[in-house]
Amino acid sequence: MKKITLRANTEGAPDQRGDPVHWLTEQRLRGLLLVLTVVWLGCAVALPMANIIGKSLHDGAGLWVGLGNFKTYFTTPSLSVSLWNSLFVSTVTTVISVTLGFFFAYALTRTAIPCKGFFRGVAMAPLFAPTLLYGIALIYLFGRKGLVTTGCFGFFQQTFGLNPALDIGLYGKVGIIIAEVIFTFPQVMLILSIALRVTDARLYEAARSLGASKLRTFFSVTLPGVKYGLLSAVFVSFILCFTDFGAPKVVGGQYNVLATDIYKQVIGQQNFAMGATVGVVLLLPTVLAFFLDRLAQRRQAALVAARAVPLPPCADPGTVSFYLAFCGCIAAGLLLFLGTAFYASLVKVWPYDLSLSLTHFRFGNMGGGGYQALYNSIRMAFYSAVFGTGLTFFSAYLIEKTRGMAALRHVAYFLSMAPLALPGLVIGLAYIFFFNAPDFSLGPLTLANPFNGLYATMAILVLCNMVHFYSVSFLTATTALKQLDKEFEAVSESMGVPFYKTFMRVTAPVCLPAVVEIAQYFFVNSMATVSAVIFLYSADLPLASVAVANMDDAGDTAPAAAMAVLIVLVNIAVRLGSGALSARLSRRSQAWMGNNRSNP
Amino acid sequence: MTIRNSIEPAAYLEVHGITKRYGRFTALNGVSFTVERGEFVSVLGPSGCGKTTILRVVSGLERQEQGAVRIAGRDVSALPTARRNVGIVFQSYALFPNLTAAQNVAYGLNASAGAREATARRVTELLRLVGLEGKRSTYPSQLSGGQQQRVALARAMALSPDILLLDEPLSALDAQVRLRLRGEIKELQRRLGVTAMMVTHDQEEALTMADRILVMDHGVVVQQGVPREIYEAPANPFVAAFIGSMNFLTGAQKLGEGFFELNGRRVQAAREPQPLAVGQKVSLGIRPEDVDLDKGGLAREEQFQARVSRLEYRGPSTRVTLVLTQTHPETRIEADLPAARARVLGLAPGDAVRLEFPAGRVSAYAAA
Repeated sequence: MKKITLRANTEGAPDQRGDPVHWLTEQRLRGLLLVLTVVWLGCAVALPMANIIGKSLHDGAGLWVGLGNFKTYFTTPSLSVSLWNSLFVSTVTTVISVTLGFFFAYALTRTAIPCKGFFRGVAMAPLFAPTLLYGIALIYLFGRKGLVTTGCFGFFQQTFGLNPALDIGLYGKVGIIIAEVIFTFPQVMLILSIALRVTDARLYEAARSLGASKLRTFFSVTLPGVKYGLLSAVFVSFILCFTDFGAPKVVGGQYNVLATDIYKQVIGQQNFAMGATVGVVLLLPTVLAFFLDRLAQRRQAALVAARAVPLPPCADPGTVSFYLAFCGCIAAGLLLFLGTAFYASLVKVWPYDLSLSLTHFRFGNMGGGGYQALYNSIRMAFYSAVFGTGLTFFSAYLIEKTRGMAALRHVAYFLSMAPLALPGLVIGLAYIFFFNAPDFSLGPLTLANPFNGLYATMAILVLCNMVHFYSVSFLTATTALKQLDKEFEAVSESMGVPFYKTFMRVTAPVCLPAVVEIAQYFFVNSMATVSAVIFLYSADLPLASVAVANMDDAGDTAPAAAMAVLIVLVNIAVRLGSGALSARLSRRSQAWMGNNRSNP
Repeated sequence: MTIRNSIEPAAYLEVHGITKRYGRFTALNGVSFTVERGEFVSVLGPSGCGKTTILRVVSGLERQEQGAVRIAGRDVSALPTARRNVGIVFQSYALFPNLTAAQNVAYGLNASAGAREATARRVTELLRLVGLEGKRSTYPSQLSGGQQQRVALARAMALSPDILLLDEPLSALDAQVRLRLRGEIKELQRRLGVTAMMVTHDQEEALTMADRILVMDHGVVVQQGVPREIYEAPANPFVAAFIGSMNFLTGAQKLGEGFFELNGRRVQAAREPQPLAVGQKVSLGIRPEDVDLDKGGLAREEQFQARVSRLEYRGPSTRVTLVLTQTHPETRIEADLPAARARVLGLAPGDAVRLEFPAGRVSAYAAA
């Protein structure tokens, strides 16, 4: 019998093992990197938050007042009324947005309506614009000189002799609620689509075989199946609306909410202590909603059966035409808002000279910074995307794919999820307090602030965006990483291949679609955000989204609309670019993702 | 550390007194065993018995709290996986999806320019060994389960490991492929002369592939031996019931050396894995295929009368469920009849039969 002598042959093929024992082993290196992750998140998330909470417990001169600021806040009706306003607006918005979002998502996932791609795309469109844009579009539609308010500039009056003009009393809660519903709609719709997509056709067959009516099936099968998704949508919608700054800034009028209050306290009255206090008041319900949301999501994940039978979408003509009409109305509404903003940015003098021109895109002697601001915004969004993506993906990798060190990984995970509970405004505020402080006093000790140099730089803006959008990106990365075989690391370890090599050669390439997705998310959101950066930008570093707010504030509504339109265009271009990139990647990876299994 | 056994010749793999806990759960409780050079050892046990944990401790993927691991005379207890020189095949194979079969096999080999030719030669050699020369540039998703398995095996062997560790290597495959690969893996291991340790929960896999089997339960090794020994002389009722099936007749008593009393009848038992005292209460164990039965007639002194309660047709054999008629409470016993014998007897439920327990096939265990 021929015995193959492999052992002798191997001398020719040297392996990578057998280096002398090094003090820096794999495990220690991973440990070190995890510690660095915790330190960075500690500096970027935990310290500024501790700082803002500390600030809320001191008065303007820096003297300890305990809960004194909060007492003042709740006993001053002019201040505390905005808390109730915020709660009211957020509740109404959530009810409307979740209801509309549910039926829209239901139509996309459970019925056989045509043009699903179109509807999904239109529903996602609001994500590309700052919330200011919806406020501005609302002004052009329902404002004093708005299209609807004036009955299409008296067109109906002249032509048909009837006056359909309608003044809805835009400025105040009505305006805020409409703008917030548009703003929260895409996110709610996304969450509910995911929840509705996961179902088991057998449950419906069972219900039908037991003779349950359609209504009863809806309440006993459909709703229970998505209840955690529904809860999650409610919390997310509430948080988004509760902490949004853009819409109330533009259409809020005299109606004060918490987000605009913080701005007024800090920028208007330079009352930092009260600003911090309002910030903490804003933080509390958000943190509560965050924990409830985490709880709901964990339950939702447990509901998913491993071998569910997919449910074929309902093709009943009556149902389809109902949902088609519904989706059509929603899409038309959303397009109307976007279209109005586009149109208004092109109209010469609304409503007197309706001829089109690009005058408003010149930003001639406007405040705000013009194209320099747009350029800065693109730069900021680009850096945020590059550094944010790298950091979130690598730290998600360390946390997900390291054996042992459970305590360290839990701390890092918690810190990675914490930014989800932090409103942009609070992050921005915490950052000016933290990075602007020349020194920190710890009892008798005074420490010079090592981060002070970052104040009023591009770096702090990028840092702020990275933290603001950290958690969602981190979750995307974690989900992608969880789909990889958990033994990849063990395999490469057994072959003496260092983990960073496997990360570069296998982990990152396989997860590339998720990486592109994360980068796109960072870019689009950094372009559109106002709340996080409005406290942090400096006069020599203007930003496009802030310029929209400032021009609108100064009454230059048309240039503001033009700037908002430019932001949307940049974002759509980036979205299309990343879509094309994803398509190319998936074509390239089709070679190894293919299902064309041959039989043994 | 002097853990080497001075009486036995030096073993290739020595595992000594390994203890591993996860919080309050003790996964391994003082596990010791040895594996000779070139031997194929299978660790068999139900899920949660600690078999995968012991494999991970040997590989260095988990660190033990106590005990030592020696491979080829080298104490590796404190070394990371990379320095233990082990090859691992995982249950999921963990093939890198974006690399071809050849790239997967070459993954651990030196990629520097000077070694390129040697590496390429080695990869070709390994792929030929597992019969996949033609699949060099194929991605894992385009290979069948069995082919993926073999790529994983080639990859694990690429660095000429001292020990090949197989973690449930066949459990992800279809029954047919599994049967064929059992033989292939065993044959490959024998040809290469590599020392192998395979973890499995499938008794048939262990019986057919292993030179020696370690049976584990609740974090300890409860029996080790060659497959025939494990099957024919199980050390305790757990092993007996886990590997194959066994009838336990309770309420027996030891009369003398090798003689037991059950319902007033004498039964001869061949094995007493643990010594039993005369007069002690015992359970008698007999495998269904060892039960002798005949139709009707009067029972002789060493025979039992029984009634057929159920018949289950299994193709090559028939399982007969019987009730002993003279016992209180009723004792059930199962017997497997080969197809030919079943045809001759032509049993039907309700038939009266005589049973006999052949003297060499009965084991006695202390009553629980």
